[in-house]
Amino acid sequence: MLSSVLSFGIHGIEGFCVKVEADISDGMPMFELVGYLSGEVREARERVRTALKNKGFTFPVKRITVNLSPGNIRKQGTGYDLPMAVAILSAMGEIRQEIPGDTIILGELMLNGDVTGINGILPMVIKARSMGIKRCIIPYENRDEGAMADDVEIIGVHDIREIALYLNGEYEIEPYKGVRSGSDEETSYNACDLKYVKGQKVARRGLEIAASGMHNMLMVGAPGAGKSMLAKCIPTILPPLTKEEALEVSSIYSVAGLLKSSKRLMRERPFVSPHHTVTDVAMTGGGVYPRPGNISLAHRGVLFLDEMAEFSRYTLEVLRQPLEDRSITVARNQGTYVFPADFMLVGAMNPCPCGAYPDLSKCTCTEPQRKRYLNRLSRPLLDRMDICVDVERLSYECMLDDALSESSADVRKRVMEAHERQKIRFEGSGILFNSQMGAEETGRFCRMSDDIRKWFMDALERLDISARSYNKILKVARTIADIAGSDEIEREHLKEAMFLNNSYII
Amino acid sequence: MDNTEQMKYDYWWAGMDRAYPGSVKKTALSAGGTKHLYEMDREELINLEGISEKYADDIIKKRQNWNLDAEYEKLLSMGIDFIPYYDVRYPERLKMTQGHPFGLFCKGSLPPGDVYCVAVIGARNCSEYGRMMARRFASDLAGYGVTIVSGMAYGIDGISQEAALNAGGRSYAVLGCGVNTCYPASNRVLYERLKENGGVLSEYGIYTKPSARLFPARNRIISGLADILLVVEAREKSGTMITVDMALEQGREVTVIPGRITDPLSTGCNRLIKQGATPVMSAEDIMYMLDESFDNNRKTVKLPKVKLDKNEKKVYELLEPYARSIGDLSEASGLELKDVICSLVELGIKGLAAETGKGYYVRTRECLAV
Repeated sequence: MLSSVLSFGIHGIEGFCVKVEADISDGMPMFELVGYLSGEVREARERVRTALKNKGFTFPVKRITVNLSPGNIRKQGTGYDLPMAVAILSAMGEIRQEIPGDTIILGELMLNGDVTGINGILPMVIKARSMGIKRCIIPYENRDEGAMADDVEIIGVHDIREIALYLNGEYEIEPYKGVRSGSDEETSYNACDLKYVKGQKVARRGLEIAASGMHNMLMVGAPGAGKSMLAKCIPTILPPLTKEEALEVSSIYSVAGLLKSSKRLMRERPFVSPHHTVTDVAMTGGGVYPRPGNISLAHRGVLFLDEMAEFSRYTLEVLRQPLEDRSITVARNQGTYVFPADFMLVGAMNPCPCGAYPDLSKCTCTEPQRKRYLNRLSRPLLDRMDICVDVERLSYECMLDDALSESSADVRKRVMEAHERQKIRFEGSGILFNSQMGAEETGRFCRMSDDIRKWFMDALERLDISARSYNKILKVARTIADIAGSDEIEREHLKEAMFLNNSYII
Repeated sequence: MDNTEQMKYDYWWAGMDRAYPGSVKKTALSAGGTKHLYEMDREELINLEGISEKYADDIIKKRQNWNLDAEYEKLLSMGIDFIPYYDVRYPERLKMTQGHPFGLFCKGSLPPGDVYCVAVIGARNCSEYGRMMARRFASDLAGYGVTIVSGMAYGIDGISQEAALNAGGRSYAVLGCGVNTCYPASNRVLYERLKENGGVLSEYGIYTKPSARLFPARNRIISGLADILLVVEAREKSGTMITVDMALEQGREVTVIPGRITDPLSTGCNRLIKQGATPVMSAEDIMYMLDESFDNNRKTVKLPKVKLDKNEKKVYELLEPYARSIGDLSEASGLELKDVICSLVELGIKGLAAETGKGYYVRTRECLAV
């Protein structure tokens, strides 16, 4: 007898529908799986057989064929165990009711017949919903994740016997609604808050400007000056994720298997800080079945590279394309995968190998050593960093001062206002933030009086600032003007932007 | 034996790269000429004073791979002059010193004997103060027609030579490697300019690669070529101090630019002053030492007047040739951070301040704020 159920697979971070068919007929007893399957899917044969046996079903001594359709897309992952088992039970007649066409089934089986969680539930459920699916039967473990997508019935199941009873209508499972307590406002911020950052006026200002225009930023400062702490505060001054953004980010984390412990959609912007030994593939995403890399995990958030000069040059260079395109394309022989990668790049480095420069009474590095160290960041990469600030080591006096500084929440208000101004200005132009302006847009949107433009050109010439930096300075000046609530760029905005330029390093 | 013939033997001998170049000439003399050295067998070489067995083997090895005519041709075709000690062009001042080189290789010209010559030396890893002083002294001295000699190294050496050339003067570099090698490579532009308006000298053959052991010996040529030695910035233990010792042995006057006693980069300088070296505050001080009848026609140096607003003036007055951070400047001036930043950028545009490290600023030019 033939039966079929619907399930879902993951391609990149996108779900796709898979039809699981099972046929039981007379003949030599055997259990065959077909449908362009990878190793772990093929292993499902043993898991399904044993799980059914251990839950008291008699595995038929017949010829069993299971097909996963479409047959031209490679299937991977362990989520097909449960739909296969259900399809076989249905073909056996153990499940008497027809399995409705608006239901999908996902889950991995253990040998004892229990259902265990899988990765990528959220993007699959979202995709299923958009295809008109009404009900998702998923592992109990994954029910929080499934419930993050609204308007779809989530049924969490514990074991294979339970699902059989449920589908036969002999057992009710209440659709899971997810954790609804606590409003969206309530965000689980960690201990990071700008109010605990003492001193560092310049760096704080740099942070605020960077966040306001989503500019990439480089922090230079002695070891222990607080570069990492400042960077960790950036998500706290960026606006919280919108609902769509949150679904998008949570989907990526779901595919990467990093969403299991959370009950709700991610509302805080991600902060990803890979170690400097990270490989280029870990950075961009990859593998035989490509999984999102660090830059995609930092999507809509911050990618922080501590000790930036210690990263391998190649790893840094691969960032260049995603910084422009805001996504990364990974090509493998299974297909081409596109992962979103719209992140704010924040780098931190020492001013020289020993870290003491420009204090020459402490610095032991020679001029060529310093140059070589700074040269580890390529010019094209530095060209994509609009803001460069120095982070000073604190004096003891400042450290012992108990007074709190301005809190992240207050800074965030100004940042959000600046974002709002940009949104209105860029309406319909396809960009969202000042940092995304190209040469054409800077000409159009960075207005200033002729007087100031003349002064600016003159200043650039005198300071020997390259034409490449011209656009960068204008973009930052535009952001500073946005924070100040000014429609035109004023002289003082330009001055501050010139100060934040990284021409010293280049 | 005619002159060219002798020159070929002398060139071969001068190209012998020994750690103690002072002995090169002595050995040549005791052997009765370089031709003899070239022809002696091992036994005879070892019998000469100051030649060890290893040295003798080196000499034999060297001459086996050496084609006298072809090598000399090659040297001439590269536009390199070889000036042995008996040549009339050999600098007189240098010839008067103990252990002067057997011969000099030269690209460009030789320092003229009838013009004063000052050796400017100092730390490679120098501060902005050192940079500023090297620039000021070298360009002022060059303005008075003085020749500047130095070692073309990073830091003070290169900066002072560049400043001398910029002021329209002459400068000579003494290298610790063959003259056709530009070391350090980052001074390529300076190297090319020196060949035009001065020269690049060395006592080492063209095949000699830069090596730390050769640098102390070349320092004696730097001081030997000069009438006066000027130390701009030096740590307590440094190559600069070796040059000073050599200059004193050669009877050269040592002048020093004083620094702050807390600054490790000036400890060497200040120690020299304590030991009796002459502190100098301007190029004119050195000119008086060179020439008692020196008539200074620019007695009062007029600082250029620059228009600065209130904040800029305040910040400018706080800036020093030593790097100060923005936070520090803001605190000291009592100004808002924003105002300090604006003032610094404005001062930068006016050429009065510069950023040396991210967020660290120095004063780069003196002026009268009005």
